Formats: sequence, C-alpha cells, structure tokens
Amino acid sequence: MAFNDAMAGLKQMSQTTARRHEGDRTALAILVIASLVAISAVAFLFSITTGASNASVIDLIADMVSGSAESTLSIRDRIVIFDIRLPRAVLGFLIGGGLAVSGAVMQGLFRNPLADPGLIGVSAGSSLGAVAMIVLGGGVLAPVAHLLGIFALPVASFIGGLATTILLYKVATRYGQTSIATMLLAGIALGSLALAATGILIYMADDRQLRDLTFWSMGSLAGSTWSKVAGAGPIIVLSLLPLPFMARGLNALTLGEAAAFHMGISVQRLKNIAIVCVAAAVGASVAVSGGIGFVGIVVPHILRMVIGPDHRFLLPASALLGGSLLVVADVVARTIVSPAELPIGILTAGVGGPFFLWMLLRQRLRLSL
Amino acid sequence: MIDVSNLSVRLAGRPVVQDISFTAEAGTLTAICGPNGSGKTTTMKAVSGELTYSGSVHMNGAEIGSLVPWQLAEMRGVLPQASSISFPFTVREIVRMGLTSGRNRHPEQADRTATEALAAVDLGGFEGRFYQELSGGEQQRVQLARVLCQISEPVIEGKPCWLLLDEPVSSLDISHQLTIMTLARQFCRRGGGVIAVMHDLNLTALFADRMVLLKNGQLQATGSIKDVLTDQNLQHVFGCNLRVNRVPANGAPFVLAHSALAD
Repeated sequence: MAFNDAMAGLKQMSQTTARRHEGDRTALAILVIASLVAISAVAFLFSITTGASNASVIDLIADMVSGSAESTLSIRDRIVIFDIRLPRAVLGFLIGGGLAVSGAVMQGLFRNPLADPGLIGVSAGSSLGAVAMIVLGGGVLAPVAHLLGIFALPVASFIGGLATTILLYKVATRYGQTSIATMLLAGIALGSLALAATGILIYMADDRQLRDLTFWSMGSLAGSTWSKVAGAGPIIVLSLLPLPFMARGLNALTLGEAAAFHMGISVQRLKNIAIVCVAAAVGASVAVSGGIGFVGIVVPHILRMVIGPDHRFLLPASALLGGSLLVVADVVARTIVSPAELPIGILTAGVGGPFFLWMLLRQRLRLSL
Repeated sequence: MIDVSNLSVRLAGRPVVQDISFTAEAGTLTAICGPNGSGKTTTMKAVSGELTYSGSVHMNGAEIGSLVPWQLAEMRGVLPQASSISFPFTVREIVRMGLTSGRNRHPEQADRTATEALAAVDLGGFEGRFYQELSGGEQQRVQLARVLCQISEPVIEGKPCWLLLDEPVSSLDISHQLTIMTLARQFCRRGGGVIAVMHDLNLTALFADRMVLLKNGQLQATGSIKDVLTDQNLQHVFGCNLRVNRVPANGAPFVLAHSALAD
C-alpha cells in the first residue's frame, strides 16, 4: 500500500512538472493585448486618413514630425483630419471600447455569455432617457438641460440605463441566483416598455426633433465633434476606470455569488459598482451615438475563445478590440455608400445578428433556459 | 473552535433551522448528518456566514456576523454542493482563483501550491483541461482544490483554519471518497478543523470524530460517533429500521441498509 502510494506520487510528480504551465493563458493574453494596442493605433491612423479627402498616412506623419511650421498638409486637410475625423475616431474608439467592456462586465455579473446591454433592454432604457431629454429638453426638462449643459444628454441616458439595469437585476435574481430565462424575458418586457414610452415622446416631437431622433436611433457617429467628445468621453472613461479593480471579483462571481462571498468578495458592493459603471458607460455611448448593438456581445465572446474568460485580461482586451472594431466599422460605414453615409448601427447589427445566431446554434445543445 | 449556540435560520419566512447548538473543535472532523431537508446545508450556510441568522456562531472567538467577507475568507474555505460555470475556464485558472483569496502567504510558490492542491485531490495533470468538460465528480474535486489553495495551511499564527464541506464526496466513486475523506482527516491531524455535511453514514463512522444529527431543522443528538450513531437515534431520525453493527477488529460502527428491508 505504502509502496503503491509512493510510486503513484512519483508518477504524479513527473507529470506535474511536465504540465506545470498547461492551462495557463497569461502569456497568450498579454501577447494578445499588446497586439491589440498596435491594432488600435493602426485603426486610428486608418480612420483619420481614409475618406473623401485624400490626405495620406505619410503626409500626416510627415506633418506631425515636422511640426506645424512647414506643414505638408493643406489647411483643408488639416481641418478634415483634426476637426472632423479625429473627434469621430476618438468617440468611436471610446464608444466601442465602452460597449465591449460593458458587455463583458454584464456577462460576468449575470454569469452568462448572452447578457448584452442591447439585448436585455439597457440600451432601450438609455434611449428613453436620451429621447426624453431631446424632446422635453426645451420644455419640462429645460432647467435640468440648462444646468447640465453638454452633459445633459449623457446623464439622462445614464439614468435611463441605470433604472433599467437595476430593475432587471431585481427581477431576474432570486436567492443570489440569476435566471437567464427570466433575465432575457424581463429584458424584452422592460425593453418594450421603454420603447413604448419612447414612442409616446416621439409622437410628441416636432419635425426638427423627429429628424434628429430617426437618424440618432439607428446609431451613427456622424456629427461627432470635440464637444460631443467632451460631453460623453469623460463619463465613459470614468466609468471604465474602476472596472479593472473588479476583475478578481468578477472572476470569483463566475463561480456563483455564494462562492464569491466565500472567497472574500463583498458581492453586493461589487454588483452595485459594476451596475452603475455599466449603466454610465452605456448611457453615455447611447447618448452620442444611438443604439449600436452587438459590440458588447461579439467582442468579449471572441476574446474568451482566444485568451479565456479571466477578467483581468478580458476587460482591457475588450476595450481595445471593441474600440478598434468600431473605428474600422465607422470607416466602412462612411465610405461604403459614399458620398452618403450608412448609420453604423445598421452595420454592427447586420454583422452582429448573424454572429449571435451562430453562437446560439453552437450552444444549442448545452443551453438550458 | 467553532461554537454554534441557539442558531435559528428563517428562509422566506419559514423556520428552517431552529435552536441548534453544537461545537466543532480544531483537530477534529465534525459531520453534520440527517435526512433530506433536515437543515444540514442551511446550518452550514449559516456557519459560513452566507445567511443571516439569530443566535450566535463564533469562529476562533469572533462572531462571524461581525466579520467582513475577506476576514472570513482568511479563516475558512467553503466547498459548495454543485457549481456549474458558463465560461470556459481551465482547471488551472479555477484553482488559482483560490490563491487570490484567503491569506496566500507564499505568493512566490503560487504555482506549486496550485499543483499540489490538484495532486492532493488526485487531479494531477488536469491543469490544461476545461472545467466544463469534466465529469461532476471531477468538477467537485477541482472546487475542493480551489478551496485548498484558499486555505493552504491548517494553522496560521497559532489559530486553526477551517474547511466547511457540503457533501464533499456525494458524487465521487468509492476510491476518491476515501481520498477526499483522508485528505480532510489529515487537515484535522495537522491542527485545522473540518465540518462536513455527510450522507454516507459509514464514511462518517470511518472518518468523523464527532457527529451532529439533525431532524426537521432541530438538533437530535451531538457528540462522539459512538454516542450518536445508535440504533435508537437512526431509527428515530431516518424513520426506518436501521441497525448499527460493529467491525470485530477495532469496533468501528457500520450501518447496512439490509436491516431496514428485513421483515
């Protein structure tokens, strides 16, 4: 008996030394994140040098290196690049990153890869807040709009998103367990409720507001200006900053709320902060760009397949991939039917919808609602 | 020492556990037994700090209701009954999560601690496998390895650490049942304390030092195995005609279901 144990022990030791680093995806994750930083930079350059005006990358780099004194770019090119394309790229990157990270966090929170701000009604709630501000901003909500200035739209949107998320969580969670069926169905219910309320507001809107609303609700980065960046940017960045510190908690939470508590996580506090951050990021994104769907579900899903679900790496990687994906999608959206422009929401839904279906089909056997 | 006195728990307005008192000493394995729905898991959840309760639960002298999650996590690890995970974590990643909670006094040895914990539950070489692809029993042992990473030493700074195991061997084959129970007993021998919810009376008799017997949310008996595992107690608690027998060699008790079926 003792001999057998000793032999088994020896055999195990030789196996464990050989396999010491198996199942460790840390190095891969760091490599992927580094590559994504490079990809983001390329996406940025690509975005600000592509379009109707043909200033090339080389011209731009030459201009940046030489300084403004002996510029190789025409004044027109400079305006196009720095006042039209750059704010658009910055906003696109922030929104894409914000939505992807929000998706990843929400999936961690609900312990389910199908949770997405767009799917479960949070975006609809944000839209309601934003539409309320657009339509009522000149009337009932005028004092609020005046007080908040450029932040009025993002804040209204944030409040709408936050209310929906909290309601959803309350409905879908019972005794610390979140039911995915309840969550998706409650999301549909809350989403249509928000849509109905939005409909009433649209009914009340005048012609000018209607035009704004229609284009905005399809999701678009058109009309991005530095002032929009200044309004939504800080909210998105601020709401994403605390999230890396929650990575360990979100990891523990994937084992269940009880297990996370056993591992020393203050679960309720984690959930509260995460919900507020997600609602803020989604709200600010929706406020400036309308509904851009599926980024929050597609990006984290792809990354989980490559680097695994560890949130310490998943969150930064999602921010980078989501950001660069939306920047590139925006270039496609504004050049594909040029000189007109396709709302980017149509593009992400067109690509994201089939992807989501594919995910469902792949999981069909394992998914029990 | 874990000192539970006058513990009562209500779930959804219904009293599930009423006025239970028992103690669990460091260095001993305490088994909580009883029929389905007798309040075993609820008692365990109260002791782990997961549920609000009335009465008192002291762990190493501190009322657990007054401790915050990270303080509890340094003192005790909890093995839950069943856990499904919807994300593709590898076994190694799950086990290493245990290292980020608890005391983890030797971060430089993180890899070794994780590897040793997996070897201890007989899953050496499973590091690279996906948790979702393992069998139920293997998943349960991965979870135990994670708990062993969290509570990697039985005694820290002179104070015992605790393992709270909810049916640790329920989905294991007989060989691994013995492995895990031996592991739990070794943890006790080295100065730690274990409380385990057990269904198998024979494994309880083999490995536990003390027993807490529950029925309908109330304490039926508590004490040494010899005192609690009696014909009378079992017949009363389980409501069938069980008889405790003894192995001739060392007098260890065992229970066969056969007697309950005999006319």
